[in-house]
Amino acid sequence: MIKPPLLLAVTLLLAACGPKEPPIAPLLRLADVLGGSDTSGFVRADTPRVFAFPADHGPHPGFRNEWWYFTGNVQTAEGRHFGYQLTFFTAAQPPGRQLPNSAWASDTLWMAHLALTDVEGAQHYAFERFSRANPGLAGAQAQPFHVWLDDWQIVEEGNGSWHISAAEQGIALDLQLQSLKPPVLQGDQGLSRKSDTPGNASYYYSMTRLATRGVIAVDGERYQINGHSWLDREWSTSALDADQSGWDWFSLQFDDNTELMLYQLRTRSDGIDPHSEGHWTAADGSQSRTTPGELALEPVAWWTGPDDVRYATQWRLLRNGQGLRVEALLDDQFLPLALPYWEGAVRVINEDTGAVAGHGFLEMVRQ
Amino acid sequence: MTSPGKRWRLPLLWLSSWRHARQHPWQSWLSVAGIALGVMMVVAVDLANSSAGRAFDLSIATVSGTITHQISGGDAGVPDAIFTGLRTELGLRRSAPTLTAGVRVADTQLTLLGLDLFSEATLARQRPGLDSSGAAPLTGSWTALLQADAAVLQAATAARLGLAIGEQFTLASVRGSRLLTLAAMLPEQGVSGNDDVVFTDIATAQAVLGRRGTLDSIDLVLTDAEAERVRQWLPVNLALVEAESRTASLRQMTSAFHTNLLAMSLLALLVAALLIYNTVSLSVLQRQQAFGVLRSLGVTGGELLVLVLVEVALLAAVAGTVGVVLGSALGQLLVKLVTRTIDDLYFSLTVTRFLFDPWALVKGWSWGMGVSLIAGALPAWQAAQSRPVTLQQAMHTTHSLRQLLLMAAAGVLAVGAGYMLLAWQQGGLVMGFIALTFIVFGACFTVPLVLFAVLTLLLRLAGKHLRLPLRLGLRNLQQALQRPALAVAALAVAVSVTVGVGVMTGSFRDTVVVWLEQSLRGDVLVGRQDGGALAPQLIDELRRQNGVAAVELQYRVLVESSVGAISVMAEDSALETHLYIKQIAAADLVGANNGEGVLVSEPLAWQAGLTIGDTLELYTRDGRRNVSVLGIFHDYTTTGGLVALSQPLFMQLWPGSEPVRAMLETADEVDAAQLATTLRQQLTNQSERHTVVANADIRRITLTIFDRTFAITHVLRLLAILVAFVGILSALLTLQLQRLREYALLRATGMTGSETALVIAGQTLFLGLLAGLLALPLGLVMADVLIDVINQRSFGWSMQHTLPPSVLIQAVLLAVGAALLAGWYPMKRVAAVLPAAGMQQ
Amino acid sequence: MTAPAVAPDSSPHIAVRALSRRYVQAEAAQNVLVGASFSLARGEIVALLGRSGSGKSTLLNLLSGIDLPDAGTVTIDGIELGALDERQRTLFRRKHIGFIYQSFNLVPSLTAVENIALVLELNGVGVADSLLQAQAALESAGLGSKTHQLPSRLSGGEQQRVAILRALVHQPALVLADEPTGSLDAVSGGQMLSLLRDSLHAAGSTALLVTHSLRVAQSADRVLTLENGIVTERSGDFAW
Repeated sequence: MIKPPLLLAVTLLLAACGPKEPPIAPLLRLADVLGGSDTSGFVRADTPRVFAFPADHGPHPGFRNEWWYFTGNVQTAEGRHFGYQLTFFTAAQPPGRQLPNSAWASDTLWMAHLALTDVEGAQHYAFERFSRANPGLAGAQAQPFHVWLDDWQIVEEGNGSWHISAAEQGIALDLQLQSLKPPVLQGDQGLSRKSDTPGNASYYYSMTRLATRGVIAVDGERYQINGHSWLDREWSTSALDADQSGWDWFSLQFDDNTELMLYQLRTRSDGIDPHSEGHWTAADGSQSRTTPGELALEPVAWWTGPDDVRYATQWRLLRNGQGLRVEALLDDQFLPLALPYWEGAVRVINEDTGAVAGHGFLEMVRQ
Repeated sequence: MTSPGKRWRLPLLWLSSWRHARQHPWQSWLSVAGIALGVMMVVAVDLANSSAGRAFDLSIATVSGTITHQISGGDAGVPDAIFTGLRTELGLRRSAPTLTAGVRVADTQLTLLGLDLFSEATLARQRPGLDSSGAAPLTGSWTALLQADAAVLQAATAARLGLAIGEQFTLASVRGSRLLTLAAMLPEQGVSGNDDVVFTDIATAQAVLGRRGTLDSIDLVLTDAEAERVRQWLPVNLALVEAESRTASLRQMTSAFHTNLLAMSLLALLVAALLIYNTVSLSVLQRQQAFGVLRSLGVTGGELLVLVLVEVALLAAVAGTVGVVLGSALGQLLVKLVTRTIDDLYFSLTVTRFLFDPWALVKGWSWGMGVSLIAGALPAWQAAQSRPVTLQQAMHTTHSLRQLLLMAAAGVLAVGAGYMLLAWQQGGLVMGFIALTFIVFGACFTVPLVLFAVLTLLLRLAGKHLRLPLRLGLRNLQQALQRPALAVAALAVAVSVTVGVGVMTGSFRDTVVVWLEQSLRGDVLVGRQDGGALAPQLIDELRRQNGVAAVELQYRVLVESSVGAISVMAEDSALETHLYIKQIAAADLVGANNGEGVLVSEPLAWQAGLTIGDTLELYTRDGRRNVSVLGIFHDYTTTGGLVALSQPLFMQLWPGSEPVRAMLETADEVDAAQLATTLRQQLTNQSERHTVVANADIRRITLTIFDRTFAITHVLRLLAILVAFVGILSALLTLQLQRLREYALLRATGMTGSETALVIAGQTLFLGLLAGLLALPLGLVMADVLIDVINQRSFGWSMQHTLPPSVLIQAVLLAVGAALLAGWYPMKRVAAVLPAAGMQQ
Repeated sequence: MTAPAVAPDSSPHIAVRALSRRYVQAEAAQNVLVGASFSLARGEIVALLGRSGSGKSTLLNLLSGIDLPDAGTVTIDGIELGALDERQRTLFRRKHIGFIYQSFNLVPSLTAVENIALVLELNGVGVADSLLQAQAALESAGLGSKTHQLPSRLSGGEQQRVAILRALVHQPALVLADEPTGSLDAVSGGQMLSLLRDSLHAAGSTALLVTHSLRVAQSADRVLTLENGIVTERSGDFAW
């Protein structure tokens, strides 16, 4: 859902004015790269639209930002658990510019994050990449599905499955993903409003259950794994209001073959914005928005990051009186990148039985 | 002056030294002047070298940074797709494309550097002016470069061009001009490198330069394993080269140039050392009696040794400081000459600033101190050997013939050792200079014997015919011997440097003239300014041009090869008509003209270790081709290696190549300069810019550059002479003033003032002549060493030996002139001696 | 800078025993001293008479440790000079010997007062003190006006008087004078001799005056003669 890039521009732009400037990638000011505040000339997400697949797996020119967000919980036959994340973000340059006569001319810039949580080894790895789109250095296409930045890529194979391959400094993903359910349109038929301001919204769909198998390498050690992944797709031009300061986002895959997406937007006064919402996917693939009052979310335990922000690593989720505990598999799943945030694998525990009820990902972004 | 009191005062022993120096001020001043001049030269050359060296490093860094490898494809460049493949197929992220070209804004020359910022960030390289750490503040935004036609300039450059952020300016390249917008400015940083660079995005650079689809090169940071993968993957016409090897031969050449200069400055210090030895030993001799008294009063020999060494150290400290100051000033001058030479000869320096290197000052000062102490050690030891005054009566001061023979034998041994070192081929450049030092030193050691022999012979054979003052003068020299020998040696060494360098540059220049004669075909040369191919229609036009009798074409391509990037050249005439061939068998020449092999330039043969019969691998689009080396030709262009082959072979290897130069032969009675002017006007309507030069102008310009290159050696020669002049002045003063009382006696017995002056005139003339004559063989030996060893080992250039008689005559005149000039003051002093002076005490 | 201490004892103050010295020059050996022996008592002023070339200077060099004998010993207050190395002998000389030469031998670049002070300085007296003492010595010898003159500006008699002051200023055990009046006229010589006597008495130093002048010999307590390399005692009146 509200993945970093959407707010990135805003976040960094504000941060650049404040005293605590985040580390900037060499040479590049992310704020500049990823958009700045100028939204003029871009298309906005303001009315519901008709989604079509596989075409919508591909890029949506005209919007300022778009991302492909893969997360997953996988494990070896022996039960060694890993969480992974591979994300591609784009930021389009303002439209209508005259591009130079060169194959290098690019109107889109790309950023990608690769992260791996090795629960048993109690290690979390995170890497980032930046690139211009051209000539063929980074991009996305719908048919056959292909998203890449240099040699980090997801490519559709002959049998319709998706193949993730990404490696950096001894950490490598080599995974086959097969979707088990149709796309889930989040919000109002895929239009996800983040505030009352018209146009502060995104088009947002998810592939909530992707059967995953393949190989994960850690420091050259290879692990055969199985598990489930989740893809979030979102494109927009602007989303958050000025007084919104961050969010907590959950993607949970329960062992009963249901999934829940849930986020709450935070306000600067540290309250919860009413535009927070959630979405259920049933075992048969049918979908429903959460209803007001259906869910209650409460942080239980915290971990303080190197950025001095307290991140809630244990939550209590009440659903119609039933208690679930969502806990991070590792406290430190902080990504110390140009844009720092906490994102990591979690498990869900039934408070009544004490049994594991599912796994998922939690993302917390603060400024 | 020394009223008793609590005031601090020098101990009396030291005071006596100080007073002695005060009583003989010229002695101290001449020592100071000699050392100061020596130190000045060392410091100046060192500063100029280190500035030039830094300029070189920065200029190299501007181009290559801290990368390990580079993919290049010669003139054809590297296709964009290679970069995409490296990233997406091989996953080599530490890579960046580069595109550079010379451009102009208004009348300012700038270097356009096209970059992909995202790639630069992966290299985190240290490029001057482009701080990849992100720490450098920036006015505006780098990412603004991603806008079409945006540029970043250094603040200083922008100020010079009068540009503010957001303003537009016209950038002119050989492909025409384009309007760019100044999007950001780099702040001025301490020793930032790039004098004038325009940074643009790589896309903008391709557009501006009309180079869509190609890059100059791709810079990489690779492990050995990755490099191997890249080699396997690359198309055959592209090469992966190690970044260091790209610059290694350039570095080798420029450092050889620096070594040459440094050696010359040290030679000046050597002359200064002779001077120091001379003055210190004199002052010890003058105080022989005083030292004897001190010894009988109970002063130990060790105390006297320290006393003299401290005197030397003080002189050297003062002189060193003066020399360092003078050297810093001179260095600023020299750096211009040095960088210009490097610029002309090897490498276009983008940085030519004077860098003040305090370490060079410390080094120069220490050299002066060290050399002074070594030179002063022998006289100091002699002082320590002073015997109490009651034993001094029988002390002798004359040299025995045996001593002279021993010294000369040692000298001959040193010369022999020098020659043996020269013969050692693997010795390299530094060993060549060490050998030269041995030879020079050895020659100095033989001077006393030669002087003695010549004097003895002269007195015996011609003594009766000489007027008394002359005879007396020569006899005085014979008795003193040591001091005049020193003067002769110092002067001979200094003059021999001018002979050696003079003969070397003369030979070099003559060789270059012959080479130009041989390699410049036709009368007028037409080429494109960017070195690109000449349009076929243009060549037709030239053929039809009035006044043009014939047109010959030259083809040239820059390619990768097994020995790095080289230029390959062919002309549509037989090889021997446009090459100055150094070495080839007659049969091989026929073979080469038939396309059975190639000729390589002499510097390439030397750098790559190629000899006739070797095989060279050339990278062509159709694969790598082995060609055999059939011969070697002279080439003094120094812009890397050059390979020449027959035109048919060239066309076979690079089919479809267009000529890059047309050499026009004028019809009879047509003036080449006139034709060039006419053509120049006609060609202004072409889309490409062209250069039209009459060959006579090329010759003139080449020789101008040549002379400019060697300007610094003339400066250094003059300075060496200056040091020698101070040396001989000091030696003569020493000689004459020691004998003032004797001259007074001569005056008392009836000799006139002018007759006593004639004594000295005869002496100085004799000494100058002898030094000049001794300098000739020494200088010729030096020239041989410079030509056959030093230049060969430095640059791989061989040259013919020519002997300009003017250099030899100049040398003798210089020596005699310097001697007479130095003798003028002693002559005046002696002529003014009153007869009564000899009668006192 | 520690010179061997001179210990007073019952043995003779200065004892010269069987001293021999020969020089080899131009293949011909010349025996200058052949077993010369004599003693000097403390405070004694002894004249040594001899012709030119009789070996007087050689004897002085041996007595001061500048030169070493081929045979025999020189013992000063129990210290045998032959047992010391060159450096020790130099330091011994610095402290215990004073020299007066026929040709004065002042250090040309130092003034009168500095020439005297130099000896004190060499013996470790402070810079200021040595100048004060030297100044006082000059004034007591009536040379106060010449204090800051360089030797070249002094007359021969004045130079020799400065030389005497320099030889005695550090109160050496032994003063050696080599033809001290040789370069002086009669008046200056007389002045010089009386200054020498007074100074010797004041310092309590022993002196050996090498001379061929009867006048000098007459001013001595005792007279020795050096002839054919042998020293003999001469008593009573003598004539040359």
